[in-house]
Amino acid sequence: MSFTPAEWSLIASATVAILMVGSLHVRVNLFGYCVLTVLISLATMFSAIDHHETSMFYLAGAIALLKGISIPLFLYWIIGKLKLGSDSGAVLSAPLAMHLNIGLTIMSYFLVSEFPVPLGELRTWVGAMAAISMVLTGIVLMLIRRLAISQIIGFLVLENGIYIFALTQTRGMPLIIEMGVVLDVLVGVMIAGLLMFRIQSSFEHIDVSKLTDLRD
Amino acid sequence: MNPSLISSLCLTTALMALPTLFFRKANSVALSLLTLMFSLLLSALVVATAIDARWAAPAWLSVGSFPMTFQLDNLSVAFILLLTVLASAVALFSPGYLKHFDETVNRGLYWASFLVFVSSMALVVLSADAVTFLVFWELMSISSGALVATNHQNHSVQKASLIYLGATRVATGFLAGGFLWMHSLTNSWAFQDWHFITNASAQLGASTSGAHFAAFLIFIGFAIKAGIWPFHLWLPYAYPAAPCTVSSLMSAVSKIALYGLIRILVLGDLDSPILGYLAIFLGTISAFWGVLFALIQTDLKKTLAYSSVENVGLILLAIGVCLVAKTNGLLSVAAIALSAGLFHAIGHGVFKALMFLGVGTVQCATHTSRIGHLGGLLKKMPTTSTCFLVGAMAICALPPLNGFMGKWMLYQSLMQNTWLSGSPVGAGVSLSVICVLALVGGLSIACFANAFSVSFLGEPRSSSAARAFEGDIGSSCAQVFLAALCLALGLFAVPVIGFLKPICDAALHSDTTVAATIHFSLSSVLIVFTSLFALIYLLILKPSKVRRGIIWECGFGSVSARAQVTADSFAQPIARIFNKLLSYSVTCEIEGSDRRHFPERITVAPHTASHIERRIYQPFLKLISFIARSLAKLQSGSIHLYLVYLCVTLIALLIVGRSF
Repeated sequence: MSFTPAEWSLIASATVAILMVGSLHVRVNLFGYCVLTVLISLATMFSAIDHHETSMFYLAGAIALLKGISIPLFLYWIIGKLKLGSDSGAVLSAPLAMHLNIGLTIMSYFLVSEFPVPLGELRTWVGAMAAISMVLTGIVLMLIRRLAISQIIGFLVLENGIYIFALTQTRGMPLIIEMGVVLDVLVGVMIAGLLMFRIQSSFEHIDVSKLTDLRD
Repeated sequence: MNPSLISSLCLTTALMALPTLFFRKANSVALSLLTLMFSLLLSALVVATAIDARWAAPAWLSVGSFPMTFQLDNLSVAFILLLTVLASAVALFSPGYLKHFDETVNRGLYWASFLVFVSSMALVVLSADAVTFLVFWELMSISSGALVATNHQNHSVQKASLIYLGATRVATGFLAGGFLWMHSLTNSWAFQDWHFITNASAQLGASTSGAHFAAFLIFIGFAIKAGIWPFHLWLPYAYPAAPCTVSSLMSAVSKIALYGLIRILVLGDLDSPILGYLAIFLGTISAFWGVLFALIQTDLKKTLAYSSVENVGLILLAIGVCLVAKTNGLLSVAAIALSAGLFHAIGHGVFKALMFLGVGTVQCATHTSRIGHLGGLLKKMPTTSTCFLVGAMAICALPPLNGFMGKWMLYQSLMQNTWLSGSPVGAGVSLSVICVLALVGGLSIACFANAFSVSFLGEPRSSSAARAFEGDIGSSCAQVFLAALCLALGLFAVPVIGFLKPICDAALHSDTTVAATIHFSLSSVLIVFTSLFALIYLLILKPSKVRRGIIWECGFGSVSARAQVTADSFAQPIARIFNKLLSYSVTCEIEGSDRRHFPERITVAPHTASHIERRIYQPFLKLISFIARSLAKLQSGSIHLYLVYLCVTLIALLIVGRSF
């Protein structure tokens, strides 16, 4: 099997995402997200080199800067403020969830092989597999965590999966749209972080499994 | 005359009416004049425009990217004229009526909904394609829903408007389903391209397989909106809850639903005998059921509502006879039936509106519409009573009023169908329908004899009835106008039927000769019957001198006005005959130490219940709310559970999606 550098970095990012499921420490998870996003930015850069598209270089830079550095820094600051250590976990234990995730990745491999998409040079099955696997990983991450901050990290992983799918299957969207999405995520995380302060001050915890009384 | 003026006029009126919403204390007289002007202008435009015009609305008014198209033929002209007549009468009547409900009624809301309602009804009648039709149909339903909820502080009104809105939603759902189906079959939204033919013939043209199912959906949709049994349930809730002015206009709405049936199914050459017989069956049952329940009501508005079920049933029956006869090739029978249906639709629109306005005046004067609290109004309110009597006579089909002509033609078509149909099934059905119709006629006379005699004759049963007074000049004008129209439509039925002839020609693709075949008989029948009634009155019921005497009161002391015959006691003998259908029972409680000879208090109360409501609709609604409550458990509030739903859905979609 010979993969391009872009494909290698995508595989690596999907692996990092699975490893994130195995740890309950919020800071470790955040570091994992940081690594994962930088890997995706690298993949974007590699495919930019392959296809000689300068606009994708800017995109790779923006992803590394905004999603890979700013957001983790912001979340790191929140973790420090709220004095969060590790998540107590919900639904499944972490090792079990990690194995479940490996199963899901294998499933996405089989799914991708039957996808009706024409698999051209860039539209690789590896990219699609990494994308679907990462979307499912993001959902599992949100599913097995209690703290609101872990929900945010899980959502960011999910969003990365969607970005990878767009990158590998459609040769990337126009630069302006991608930039818009990146900024949206940034603003979304800002708002979620501020909301977390409010939840902490009114409920004295940010455990989402205890927020069930809020339904109508 | 440019026909697009008509649609522009209606659309501008609807738009102009909207700002009125914000004026809670809008000036009723000015708005009434505006409505009158609109009605007059609309009818003048319609009369001046060449028949069989087709046009499209200006591009900026299109629905999304869909061009609205309109048409004007004799059918739409007939219904628009009916609508404008009713709208002007109600507009004349409204200011005086609203004055009595000043504290509770938001006049801005009332008039805005009223204008939107009238103009959207006109636009429904003008629509030439399904999308335009549905858009204005919805506008009509919503504005009439707002009108039903005029007195929304009242709990029963809230319930009624909810039921009404629910019924209109279901009706629109069926209609939209049928329209979409027809669109997929014919690839066109225009009504003129829709042909509900499954057996191709040289006369009717190409066939469209599967059109009967679409026709069935459309039929059900219109049947719900028209209030046909067993979908009539919203009617006895909505009509009494709405102000009388609104009820009288809404009786025109059920005509719009029947207009839709004629426009789409009859003019679309529906050749399904099953649907034809279904229409006959449902129409007959509605007529019988409606009049039976009308008889036992103790509220004038409810009586009128149930009587609407009866009359709409009669019209549907006529449409069914027309469909069946047309399928069998009996074109003359079909033409008579269709004329009967159209004529009765117009006639019923007029006399039902008249009677609702009469009840409105009574309500203003006595603050009640319960028959048991009225009585002796003939002396206090002579104009209203006379007009109500004319309406009641018309609804009982007494000559020379318009109700008689419609029913006469209906009987004619059924009898001719019995002789000419040739098949034992057709003859048997027509014959048994004639029998049921005769029963319905008798029951409706009993019903309105009850309603009129108990509320307008005798002595007042309550102090408010004793203090009753005639309504203002506007309300009297409106009622006299409609009563005169009842008489005129009856006397000049032949020209009206001549006007309806092109509709029959278009529906049957041949030169029908309704007017010629029943022209002579109609006039002669009219003369014979009218003179017969006069003879009976003069010879047998001789108007003799009034004798005054003292009543023997069985030693109980002076007899109060409450000792008169009540609506309940009037209806009791008939209700007892049909007590299984009505689940009718009377409880009688006598209190007092020596109950046998010196009762202190006697309470007699009749009880009825609607089988359909209790046995079918209630369990069905319970099932729906049970399912809804079970589904609500999905909303647990737990983010983790929501994520599980998300994950499962995503994986399922991926697995399903891979094979496509």
